[in-house]
Amino acid sequence: MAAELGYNIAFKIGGKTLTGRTQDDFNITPITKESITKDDAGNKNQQITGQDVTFSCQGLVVLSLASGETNKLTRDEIVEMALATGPSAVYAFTYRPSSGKQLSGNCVVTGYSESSNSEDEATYTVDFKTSGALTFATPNS
Amino acid sequence: MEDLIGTTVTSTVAAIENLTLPFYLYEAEEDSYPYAVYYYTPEYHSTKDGVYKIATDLTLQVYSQDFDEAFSLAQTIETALIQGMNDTHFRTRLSTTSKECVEGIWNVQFVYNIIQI
Repeated sequence: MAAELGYNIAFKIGGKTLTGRTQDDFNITPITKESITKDDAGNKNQQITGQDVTFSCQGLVVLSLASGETNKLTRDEIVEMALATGPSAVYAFTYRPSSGKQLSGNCVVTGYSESSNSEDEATYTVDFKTSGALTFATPNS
Repeated sequence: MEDLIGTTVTSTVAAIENLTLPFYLYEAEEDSYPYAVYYYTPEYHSTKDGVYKIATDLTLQVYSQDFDEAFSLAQTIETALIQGMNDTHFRTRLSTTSKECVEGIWNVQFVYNIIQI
């Protein structure tokens, strides 16, 4: 058995990871439709009609990147994403371990929060919800 | 990120003018007073992209047969560490102090909270 280490799993927006990332949470919540007829004798039936797919990403607040770090989104860029509206607020994402299948599609930001105290580094949490169809397949490269 | 806390503490203490205090890691290598020892255990903090800070509580003990000498030396080192290890790479502050005397030998202990970033 080779369990995947957490740091190998990357959530990317437009091909870029979120800077200072410490944790990514990936959730699939099935949407169910319940039915029951007299013939079911009191036993309810469930049908899956779709899924709510969400991501919650946490990290350290980083305002500027080191030279050469062009593949990361800074805190300011993440906040701008959270403040966007309309079609420009929909972002292409990928989510993938070091190998295996990749989940990809579009998403919107459903929440952003920052936390700062007098002792530690400031941190952020940004929540995403997918929009439209998703693809779950092994990428070509 | 490489742990530079120990080497920086050592070089900072070595650079103190007019200080000829034997300074050891963990324990004295010669049986003469005064002398100082330091020890620490680094704690690495990581993002998914790697280590971003190393934090530790570094204990620095000055041993002397005279309390005033031990305390004065500890304060001299404190001044140097606070001035020399608060910059873009280190955050250092004095956390706790204690003094004890065992069989006529004073041990003045200063514990520093040091973060390498």
